[in-house]
Amino acid sequence: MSINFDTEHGQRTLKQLHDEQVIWLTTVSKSGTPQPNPVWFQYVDGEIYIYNQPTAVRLKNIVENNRVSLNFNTAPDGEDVTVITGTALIDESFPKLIDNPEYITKYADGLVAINSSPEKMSEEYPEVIRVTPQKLRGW
Amino acid sequence: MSIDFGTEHGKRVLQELQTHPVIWLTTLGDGDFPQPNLVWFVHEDDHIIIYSKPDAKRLGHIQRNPRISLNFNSDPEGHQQSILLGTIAVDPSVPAVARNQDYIEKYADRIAEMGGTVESFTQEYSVPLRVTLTNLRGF
Repeated sequence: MSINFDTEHGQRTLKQLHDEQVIWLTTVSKSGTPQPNPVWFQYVDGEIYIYNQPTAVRLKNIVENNRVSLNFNTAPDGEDVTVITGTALIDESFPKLIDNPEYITKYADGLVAINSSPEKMSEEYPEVIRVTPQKLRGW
Repeated sequence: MSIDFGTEHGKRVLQELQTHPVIWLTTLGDGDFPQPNLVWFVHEDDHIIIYSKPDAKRLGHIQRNPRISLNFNSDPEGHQQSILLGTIAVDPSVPAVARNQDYIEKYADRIAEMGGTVESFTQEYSVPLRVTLTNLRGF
């Protein structure tokens, strides 16, 4: 199953995947509790990549249950809903942050805002989660 | 366990609970995929009241797993995140929409905008759900 980006909503979602700075990643903890977190991300060839600190609980969560959801912030009154469900895994072959110029360009301002640098963040966020989308809903 | 609304973050969350029109409710759906949905709600102390349609798939899901998360949209950079965890259950003791003054005050205009009436909305969203809040995360 894969996502149809040809619809009007699909087109908007594709644009959001390229343009938005933050996406909510929800993993499920061992007890079955959904755990949402806003994260930085990169959309490459149909997959979503997220760098993580080695201590991030979501790394453990996806080993137990690889099913996750992604959603963007909506407009204040709840318009523009986009929810993607899919499966996540730890991807050891994805380039390190420091070797990922597209990511560094996307978050150049963001890195400065949090007082970090590509070098620093690359060291602190070495673990890569890859999400493969399966379904898109929203309007 | 209940939530400390006395901290700086707690106070902001309380304000968000009292003023925001929509909140993301995430339940575990088919195949244990997390399913975020944007919902209308009213807040009462350590509880949130939501109304559901009687045929909503969510009703089956929460019977199997009552653990849920709630979050507001973050700001565009991903700051100001408020994530609440809790449990959800159908609660027949909650008054129907038409008799829930706080809910009517909050949503009467929006119900009208959607072309509905309080009566039609009450009939359509006939199942009251109560979320008991247990944890607050974020900053």
